[in-house]
Amino acid sequence: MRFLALRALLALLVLLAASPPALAQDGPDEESDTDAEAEDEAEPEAAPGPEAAPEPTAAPRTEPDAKPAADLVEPATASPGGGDESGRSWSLSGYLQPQVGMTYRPSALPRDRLVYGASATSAGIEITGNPWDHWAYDVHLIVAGESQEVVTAVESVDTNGDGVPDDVSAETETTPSLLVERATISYQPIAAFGVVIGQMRIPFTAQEQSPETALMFPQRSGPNEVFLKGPDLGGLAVLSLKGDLLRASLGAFNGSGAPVEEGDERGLVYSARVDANPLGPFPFGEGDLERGRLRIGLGAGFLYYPAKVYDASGYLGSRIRDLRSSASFRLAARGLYLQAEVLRRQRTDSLSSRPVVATGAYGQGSYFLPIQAPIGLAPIARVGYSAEDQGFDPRKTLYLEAGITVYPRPDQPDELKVVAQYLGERRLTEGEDAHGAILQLQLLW
Amino acid sequence: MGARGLLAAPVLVVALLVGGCVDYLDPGEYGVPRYFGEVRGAPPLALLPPIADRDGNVYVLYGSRELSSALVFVGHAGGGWTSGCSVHKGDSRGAHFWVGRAQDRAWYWSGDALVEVAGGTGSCKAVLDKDPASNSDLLFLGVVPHVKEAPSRTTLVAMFQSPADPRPYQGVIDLGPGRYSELSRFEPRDAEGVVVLGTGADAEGEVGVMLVSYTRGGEVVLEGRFLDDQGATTSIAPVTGGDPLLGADAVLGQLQVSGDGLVVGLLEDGSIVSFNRSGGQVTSYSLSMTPVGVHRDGGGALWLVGESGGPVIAPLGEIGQPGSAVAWTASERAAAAIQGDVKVLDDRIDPRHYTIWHEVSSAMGEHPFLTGAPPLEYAQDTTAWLFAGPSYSVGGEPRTSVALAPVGLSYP
Repeated sequence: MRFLALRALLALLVLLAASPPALAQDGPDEESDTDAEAEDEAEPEAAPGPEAAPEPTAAPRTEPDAKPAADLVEPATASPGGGDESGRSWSLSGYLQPQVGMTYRPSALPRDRLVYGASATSAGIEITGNPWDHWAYDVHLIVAGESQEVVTAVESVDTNGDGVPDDVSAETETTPSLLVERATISYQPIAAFGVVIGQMRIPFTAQEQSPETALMFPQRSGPNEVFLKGPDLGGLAVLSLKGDLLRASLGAFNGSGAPVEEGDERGLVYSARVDANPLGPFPFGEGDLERGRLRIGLGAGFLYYPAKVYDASGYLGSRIRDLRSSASFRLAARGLYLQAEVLRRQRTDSLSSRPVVATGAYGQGSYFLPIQAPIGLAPIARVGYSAEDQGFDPRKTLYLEAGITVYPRPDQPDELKVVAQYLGERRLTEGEDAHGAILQLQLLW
Repeated sequence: MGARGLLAAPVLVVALLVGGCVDYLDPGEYGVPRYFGEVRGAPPLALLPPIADRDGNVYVLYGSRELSSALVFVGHAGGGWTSGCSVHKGDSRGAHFWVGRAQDRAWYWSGDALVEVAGGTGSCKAVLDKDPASNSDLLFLGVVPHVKEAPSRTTLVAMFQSPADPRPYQGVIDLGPGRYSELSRFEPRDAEGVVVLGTGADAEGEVGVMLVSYTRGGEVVLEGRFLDDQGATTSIAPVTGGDPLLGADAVLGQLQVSGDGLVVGLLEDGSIVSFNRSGGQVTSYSLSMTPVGVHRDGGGALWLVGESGGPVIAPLGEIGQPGSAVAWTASERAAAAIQGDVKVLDDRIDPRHYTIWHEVSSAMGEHPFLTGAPPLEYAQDTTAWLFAGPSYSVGGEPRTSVALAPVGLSYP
C-alpha cells in the first residue's frame, strides 16, 4: 500500500514526460510538419526535459505584462521547457521541500507531548504549456510524505463475550499521498480576458492565489486554512485590465474544497474576487525578492454557496446558504513585504436556526535584507487570529509565527531557500498552547 | 475606478466583514419544531433540557429524578432522528442532566452512569462502566457539568467509587480512551457515607463545584468543594444550616456559579444553598413563588425561576437571597408563540414532511424554560426546548408526541 502512490507517481511522470509529442501529433497536419522541423532543430532524442529545452518560453514572474495565457493564475514554479515556431511551448518544472519539524503540546498525554519527524516532506511537479495560440494547460501534482492515515483493517470487539459487538478496533497506517494541486486548461482569446477550467485553488484570498513555492512560510496561515482549504473543481473567468492594475475573476466550483458538514448536498460555490494594484503589477508571491519599487495591492473576495440538502430517500431536506468574504492588503517596497487579510464566514440553513459564524485575520511581513554576501536573508513574522463557532460557543485561537529565510543563491532566490520557523498556537478558549519548529529546504528545478 | 474608489472598496468590505449582521431568534420566537417521537406520560413530561454539539446534532434525554431509567433521542444535524439508547445504572437515582458536549458527541449522567452518545450515529456507551484495574463496577457519585474539549484531550471531572471503596475518588475522566487520571481519594480519611448533593461549573468550565455531605465522628458535615479542571480540590467551604436528612441529588438541577464566584442551588425542600470559597449556608426564604430552579444568564448573573400564576423570575443577591419576582416575559412569549396551530417537521423517517399540531404546550415544566436543570445554550441567546403535541393512551397509560425547537431565550 505504501508504495502504490509512489508507483502511480512514477507512472504518471513517465506519461507526462511523454505527453508533449503526443499532444503535437493530435494537432492539424500542418502543425505536425512544423513540429517535425522544430524537433530537427533541437534534436531531442528522448522526451524533452529541462536540459534538452531548445527555447525557454516561460516568462519570469517579475514580468507580468508578458504573461502568456497559461499565467491566468501564477504557476508554482517557472522553468524552461520546450517550444517551436508555431507557438507551441511547454515547460516542466518542479520542486522538493524536505521538511523536519517538531510540535510540543504541554497539556497533551505524555505520548503526544512531543511529536517530531519529517513527515511533512513533499515534492511537486508542474507542467505548463501552450499547445496552440490562446490555449494553455497547467498540471501541478504534489507528492506528500507520510501524510495520509488510511484504515487497513477493522475488527469488531466483543468485550463481554455475549456475541454483540461492543466496539470496533481499527488498524491504521500512514502513507504518502498524491495530490492534484492544479490541473487546468486555459483559454485566453484576448490579452485582458480568459477562462480557466479544471482543478485549482479558488481565488478567495490573496494567499490562496500565491504559488505553493512562493509562500512566506512553509504553510499558509492558520486563519486562511480555517476558511478554505485545498483546491476545487470548477471554472473561472478572469479579467485583467491595464497590465494587471485591476484583476477580477468570477467562478463556479463544485464545493468539494469547502468543509463538508452534511451529506447529500447539491450546490455550486460561486466565487468573486477583485484585486487592484494601483501602483503597478503586483504578483501574489509573498516577498519582495526583487527589492523593487513601492507596490500596493488591495483585494476582496467572496464565496457564495447556496445548496440543497437531500435526505436519505432523495427528497429535499433543507437549504443552506454559506457566505464567505475576505479583504486583503499587500505592500512591497525595497525588500519589505507586508500582507494582511480579514476573513468572515456566515452559514445559515432552513432547519437549525443556528448560524455558523467565524471570523479570522492575519498579518505577515518579511524583509529581504540588502546585504552583500554570498547568501540572502529575510526575517519573517506572522500573527493570526481566528474565532470559530461564534454563533454558538466561540472557539478562539491565536497564531504566532516567526523565523528566518536563508537564500543560498541570492541572485536566484526563488530556486533555493531554507526556512527556519517557530509556530505557536494558543487556543484561547481551551487554554492550551502548542509550540512547533519547522526547518524546510526548498529547491526548484 | 479612481484611486479613491480602489481604496474605498476594501475598506467597505472590511466593514461588512466585521459588522455583518447575523439573525438569531428573538426572545420567545421559535424555529422549526422537529417531531422526534412519543414518550410516556402527559405534560409536564419527564424530559431534561436538550443539548447540541458543535456539529449541530441535538440530544434529548427522557428521564427524571424519579425515574430509574433513561432514553435518548438524537437529532442529526442534517435531519433525521435516532433513538434507543437507554444506558442507566442504579435503582436509587434517576437521570441528572447532560454534562457537556464536544464536536460530534455529548455525555449525560444518569443514575450512577456516565454515558457517551455519538451524534452521527446515535450510538451510546457507558464511560468507565467498570474499573479497568479491578473490573468492578464504577459508580459516578458526582459529575461536574462541563466537558473540556481541547486539541490534546477531551475530559471532565468527576467523583466516583466502586462498591468496595470505603471513600470515593475524584479525578479527571479522559473521555476519549475512557480512562481516569489525576486520582485523589476523598479527604478526610475518616469520612464515612460520602454523598454528592449537587454539582455545577462556572461559565468557562474552569471551576467545578460539588455540594457534598458525609459523617465524621457521628456528625453530618456539609461542604461546598471547588475543583479545578485537573480534578484537584482547590477550596473547601463549610456550609451551615442544612437539613441533615438531605441526601444524594438534593439539589434540583445544578449548582450555578455566578460571575463573582458565588455558588447557589435550589434544594428539594425549597431552601436555597449558597456559598463561596470561604463558606456558606442553607437558608429557607419566604417566597412569593413556587421555586423550580436556579439559572445563570449569559452575563453571569443568577436567577431563581418559578411559578406564580405564570412564569416568574427573581434575581439572586450577593449571598443568594432572592429579590423581587417579576413576570418572565421570554417564557410568556414562547408560550404565546406556540398557541394555535403549529407546523411541525416530522423528520423521523424519510422523506420528511410537515404536520400540524393543534394544541401545543411546553413539554418540560409548566411553562417554557421553567426547569430545575437550566436551559442549555443552543445558539447565541437561543436554547433548544421541547414542546408537547398530540397525546393518546396505550393501555390506560398516556403517550405524548414531542418536538424539539430552537427558541429565543432572555433573562430580564
